[in-house]
Amino acid sequence: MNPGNLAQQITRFMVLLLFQVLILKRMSMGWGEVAYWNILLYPLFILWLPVRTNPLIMLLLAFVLGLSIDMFYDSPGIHASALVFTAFVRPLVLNWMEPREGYNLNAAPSRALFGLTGFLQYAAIMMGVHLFFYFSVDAFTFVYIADILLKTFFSFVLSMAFIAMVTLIFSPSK
Amino acid sequence: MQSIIQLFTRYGTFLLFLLLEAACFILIVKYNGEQKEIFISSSNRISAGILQRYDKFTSYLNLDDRMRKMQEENARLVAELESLKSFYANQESFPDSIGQFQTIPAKVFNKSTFGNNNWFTLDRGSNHGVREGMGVINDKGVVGIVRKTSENFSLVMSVLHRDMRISGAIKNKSSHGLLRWKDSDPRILDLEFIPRHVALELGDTIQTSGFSNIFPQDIMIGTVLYREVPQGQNFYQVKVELAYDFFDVDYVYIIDNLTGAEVVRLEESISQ
Repeated sequence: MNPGNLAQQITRFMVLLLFQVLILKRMSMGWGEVAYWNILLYPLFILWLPVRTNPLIMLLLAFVLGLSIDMFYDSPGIHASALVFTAFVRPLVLNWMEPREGYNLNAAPSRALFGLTGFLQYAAIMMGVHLFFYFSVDAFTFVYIADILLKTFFSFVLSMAFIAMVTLIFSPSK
Repeated sequence: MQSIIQLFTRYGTFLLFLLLEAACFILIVKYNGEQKEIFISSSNRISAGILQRYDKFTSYLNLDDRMRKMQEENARLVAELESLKSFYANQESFPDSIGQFQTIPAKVFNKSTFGNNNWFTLDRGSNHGVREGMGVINDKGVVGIVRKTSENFSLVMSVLHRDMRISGAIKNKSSHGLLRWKDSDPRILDLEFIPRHVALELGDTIQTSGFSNIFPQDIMIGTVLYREVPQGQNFYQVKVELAYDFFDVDYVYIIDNLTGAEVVRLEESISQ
């Protein structure tokens, strides 16, 4: 990983962390009477990592980012465990989505690589996994399965809307 | 040795995954346990600093709204004061005026009303006289109980926490029970141990009982939304709708019960 790329990753890490805890966290709490959603955008950090990132490093990064998020959410371990799981699943999803000619050496999942629909499809699988795991761990029991699914559903729709927006605004198509 | 290295190169990712998940689950279980002795929480220095600074900034944006709320509260207090004055004007002697309760005003700068175990972080701590076990209210009703303090911050267990128990009484009826949050709906509490002979009506007001040393008597909690005596039971099943929306909690009062320690000492002296 060259230095320019490293700086880019650190910036992403910080921006996503601050955007999540300062802005999105409040939106989860502030709207309506019963909040059944929690907009999560920080998994984008893991989603955007280059395809050939060492899985060990990816897991550690997920753990650190998750714990940082937890620090602000007062929920030690919950975001971290979900993000570690998401990072663990990522290679399987990428494997499944691999183009026929394989990935380039420096390829990173993006709109340019998969196309808009392809990238959103990839993001949808990852976010679905992440949110379901997150709400399951939050409840800590499957007794509230209806509740978990409901929360996952609403949060999924809203988070995906944000991811689509971010993709359209910041991610070049070529 | 060879085989261990081989094992690790082959299953390293999976092993690290298991290790990290185990670490996470230890954190989760420990944090939800009895002692909240954990470093990673919003009252630690870095995150509390950032959150507080940001909160200071955003609080300018709705000053208007907050001032109106304060004014409403003031207006109500003035009205109450006036009616008390006219009441005591007709009395021969004033009641004992040594206040049992003092309040410490504080501001909520971090809160969760989303999970199963909710917390508030306040910008007042042991330096300001906050101690563990103090009750927290706002002008509308009960908010929670202080569970942990640092020098400048305190963590408050919300009424919407699975471990929370509050003694609640029915207004104008001599019966009291225990309030717990069992539903997933952040507006509904369960009131337990109300015997079936009590004439409980829908819409009855539930207040603090004043038996717990934590809250003063007659602090609003909510109104009865549903009440039923299950077949063959001696106690009602009661659902209480909270008096206000927990998303709205911003300024609160921490209750310092000046005689609380004395009561506890007295009670402990008997149990020994």
